[in-house]
Amino acid sequence: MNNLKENDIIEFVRLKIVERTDIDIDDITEESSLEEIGLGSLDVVLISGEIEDEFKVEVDPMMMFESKTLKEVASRVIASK
Amino acid sequence: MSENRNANKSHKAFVYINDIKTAMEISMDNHFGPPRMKQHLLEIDAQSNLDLSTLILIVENALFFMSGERHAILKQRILRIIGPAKKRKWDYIIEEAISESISNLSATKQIDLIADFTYPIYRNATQRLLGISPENPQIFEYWVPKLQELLEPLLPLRTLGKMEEAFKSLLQEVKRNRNTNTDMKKNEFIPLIDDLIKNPIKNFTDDDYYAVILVLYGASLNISQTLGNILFQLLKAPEEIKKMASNPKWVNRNLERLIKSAGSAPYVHRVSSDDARYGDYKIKKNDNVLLDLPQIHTGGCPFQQLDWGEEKIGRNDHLAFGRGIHYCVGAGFARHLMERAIVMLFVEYPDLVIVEQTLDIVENNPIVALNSLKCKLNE
Repeated sequence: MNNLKENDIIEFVRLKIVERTDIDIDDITEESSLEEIGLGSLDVVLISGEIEDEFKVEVDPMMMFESKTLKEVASRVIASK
Repeated sequence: MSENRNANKSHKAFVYINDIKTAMEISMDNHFGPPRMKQHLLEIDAQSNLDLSTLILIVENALFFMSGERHAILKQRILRIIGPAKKRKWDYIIEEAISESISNLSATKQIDLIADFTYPIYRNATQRLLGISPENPQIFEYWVPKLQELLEPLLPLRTLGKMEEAFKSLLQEVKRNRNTNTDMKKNEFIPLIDDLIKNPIKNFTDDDYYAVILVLYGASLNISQTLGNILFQLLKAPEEIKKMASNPKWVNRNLERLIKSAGSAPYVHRVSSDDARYGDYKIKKNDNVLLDLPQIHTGGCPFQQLDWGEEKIGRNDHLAFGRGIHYCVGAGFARHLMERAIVMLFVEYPDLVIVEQTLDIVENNPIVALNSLKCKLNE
């Protein structure tokens, strides 16, 4: 997928987090951190794989943990393209 | 383009332990166990479209991921064949592998100590010990180092998928080409795979044994890497130290110092089963704890000049082979191989010198090792 947009990635990750947790989507913002959300390593590995499939990029699960916010996750995904 | 996943080791997923006292305590504390890799892979297998059955078989039979009775029984059986108590059965394998590599060195003046010395010794000695005889050695050797990557936490799905395919073919290769050589007549040595298949362990299958062999072969690559790092240290040492490298007693006395400073393993990974506090470290239940070995042993730079002082360093003063129930099952074999290889090399080539001043270090992998170590046999 060309012209990756930060918002598309953030929206996609928000939906995936909702699928894997019982958190309401309105409680997940671009400033939310994965640590606060309470994602475990299995969730992060699987969501990373889903981002890869959806946006045709390579995503290292380590990067997800290193990023402070969902916005940072999205910008690092774009930067790695 | 992917990022270097080892470039930034400071993040929330792990607690890094950087001092030897805490690392030793954690190694001996049964509240810290191996990562639950089998469960992790089972869940990924169930929740993704990946078939990870081969990787699951491998981690089920990798001692560093195992615990409980299955771990204890397998470890005991392996030690019965390759443990230090059986040294007189297998030490000739090491002598022959080193002699062959040294005689091959004499064919050329400029050599690479990794490709021409440490790696062939590891490959030849370990394949005979375990009973491996790959039909396609190049393909086999390409994939085996990837076994070390399985130790890395949080591997991406795409990497797991590639590893699954690679290890499936590696396992087939090991099964098809067992090295049931004639060594039995010579020294009554039975390669480990033959012993395991002839004397089955309850609840283990032949597939389990082949996975055990493959894991041990991949893990033993540390021997080549650590030996390469040690040779670098000795070649960079002051002349009076370098001269001692051909003295068997000196090498024996200093072996632990060398292993501590040159060990290639990057970390020991443990998972906490409880909240705990060790000094300044606050550890929560289920935290991934990484004992950062280069930081613990050398302050972070394994290739800096070694302190050759008088301080005695013993087997229990470092964690290069781990500690406690997960102490490396091949430590005795590795120690003997490295000790003999150092002495035999420097006896034959006392004037060996490094020709390239730039370090050719393995990158994009947490392993601490050299890709090459170019030398001249004589000044």
